[in-house]
Amino acid sequence: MRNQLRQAAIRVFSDSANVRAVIVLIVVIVAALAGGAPDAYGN
Amino acid sequence: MILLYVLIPTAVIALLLGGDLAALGNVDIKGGWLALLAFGVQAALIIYSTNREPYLAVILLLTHATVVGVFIHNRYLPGFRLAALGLCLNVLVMTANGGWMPITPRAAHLVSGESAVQFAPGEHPPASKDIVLAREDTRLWFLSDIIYLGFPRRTVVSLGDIFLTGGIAYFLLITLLKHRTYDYVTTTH
Repeated sequence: MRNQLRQAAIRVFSDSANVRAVIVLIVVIVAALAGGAPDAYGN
Repeated sequence: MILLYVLIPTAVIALLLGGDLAALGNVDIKGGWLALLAFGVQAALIIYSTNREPYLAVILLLTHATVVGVFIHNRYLPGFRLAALGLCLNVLVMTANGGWMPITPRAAHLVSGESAVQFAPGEHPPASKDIVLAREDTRLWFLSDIIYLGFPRRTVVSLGDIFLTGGIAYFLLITLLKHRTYDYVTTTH
């Protein structure tokens, strides 16, 4: 199971489009948290 | 976490409608690194600083202004204008109240959960951007953290938070579905 997950992760991240998609998603979520979106720090 | 409670169902709906997560890879967010930097500074400030000196409020506002700038700079992206409006409302109410997001003692008590901590006016709830202020002492009260959400967990949010979250959710939905629209157009013409 652990190995399958690892293989799946390698497949996803070996595609540069997927890596870019993950980076964009992280940037947007972090920007929203920094902007004061609810529950940024546990409130 | 409330943001994730909105974004995860939005992403699932988009995928069920035929969206593609990889479509996010085509988005170019200009100055995105500034938002990451602003978040890092905020996190360090809020988690590690034990006092609430006035200069910390200035730094907090500067980081918010930076994020506003990033959203305005990328205003051509779907939902970013709404998100920028929400951010501006948050910055406005925070600036009017000394740089921190005002929350009433009752609301702070409601979200403190099992511990049911009582906060006195002027106190800062731990690990937050908030300052506890009575309603009559809060400037632009209607823009502060006054909207109580009991589900999926207890919290209070501001009107700006609602616009911000709505803008991001709209961005996610439209971006993931964009390629589906393209497929539809190319197969029907």
